[in-house]
Amino acid sequence: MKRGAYLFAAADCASCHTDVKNNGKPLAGGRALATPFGTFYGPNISPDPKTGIGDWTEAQFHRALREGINEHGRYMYPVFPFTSFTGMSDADISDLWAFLRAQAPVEQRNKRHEVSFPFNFRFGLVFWRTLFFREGPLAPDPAHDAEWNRGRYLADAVAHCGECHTPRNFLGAMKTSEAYAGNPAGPDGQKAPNITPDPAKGIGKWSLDDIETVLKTGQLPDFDFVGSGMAEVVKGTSELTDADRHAIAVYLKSLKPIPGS
Amino acid sequence: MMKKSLQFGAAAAAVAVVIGMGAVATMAEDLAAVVKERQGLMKQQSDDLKVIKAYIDGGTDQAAAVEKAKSLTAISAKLPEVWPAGTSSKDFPGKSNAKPDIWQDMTKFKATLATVKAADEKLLEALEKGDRAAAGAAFGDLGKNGCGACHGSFREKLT
Repeated sequence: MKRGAYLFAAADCASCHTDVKNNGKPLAGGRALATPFGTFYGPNISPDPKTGIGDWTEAQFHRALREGINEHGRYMYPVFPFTSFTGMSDADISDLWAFLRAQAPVEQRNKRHEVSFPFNFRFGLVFWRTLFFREGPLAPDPAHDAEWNRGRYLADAVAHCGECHTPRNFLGAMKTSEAYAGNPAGPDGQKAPNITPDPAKGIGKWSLDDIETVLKTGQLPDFDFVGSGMAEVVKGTSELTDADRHAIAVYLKSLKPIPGS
Repeated sequence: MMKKSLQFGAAAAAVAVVIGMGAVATMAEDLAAVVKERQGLMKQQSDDLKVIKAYIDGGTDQAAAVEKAKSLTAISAKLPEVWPAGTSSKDFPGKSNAKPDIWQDMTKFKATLATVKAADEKLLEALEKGDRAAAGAAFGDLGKNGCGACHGSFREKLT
């Protein structure tokens, strides 16, 4: 349960599945996320049997995160970042499931996504997935040590940093060759900055401590404080252990520096 | 040939329009100036925080840290006054990072500013006592529940 709660914070599920802005109940969904493909509404993931995931099996939950397939066997839009969560281990997905099951059920119907034409036809996802989706889990890279691998696992799979910070192509898929180089058209129209170690456009001049400080408190090296989407992220990353934040910092600093957008 | 009264009326109208335009232009200038002023206040705060953090971490120059904390409390008293309507990121795209949410939820916004003021005062108190541990805690509290809280809800960095 504690492990599940930890993963819940790291993955920041609450940001998309709790409508904080409108004082929504925890995990009841309803939060609007504007994207270049339409506005999506985070579904209810409280264990309510009628309107949440209370009637799901653990296998269905695994399928959702690992394969991006919902309880009706239909493909989910990659607004749900299963493209990253697929990297999570079976054990972690099970822990997260146990945690969610123990939360308070809230009855709240899901809002229909407002998907722009022609993306509102789900079958298009078949092609999208063939082109862009590689199923996980993430295997450790033997060329790097345990700490680096932990950092990569947290950043790429759980905290799914790339989903905001990696530029996307015209079909909305992450351009993996430019990983973490920033996305000027991020969710809700926010600009997600370049967090590769590029010295001019990225965080090349930052120390590991600088990165860990942002993740812990939201404070930037120039004593500015992050806002909007990243502030929500920090609510979660502030609950990680110092070692985990350090691992993420180590991983980020090892990335290919990309001058980017 | 217009009648004298009509001429007068037309002239008065023309003058009114020019004054009106001038007034609008001045108002826009005033609002732009407010945006610049508060961005200056924000920058001053980050400069102040830097000096304070140096004392908290290294123990040197407590006097400077206290001075900067006094500057922070003074700024926090001024902050509630620099958000006139018409200065949001929609009104000044590319210049202002102030989300329209501020004016939609002025009560919550002002409450956050009050939190900043209270946190600044606590920080000042700890620094005056020379209690670096307490100052560190107050610094963290200011960052998380003050600066961070306000930026989280009300600032969008579009520039």
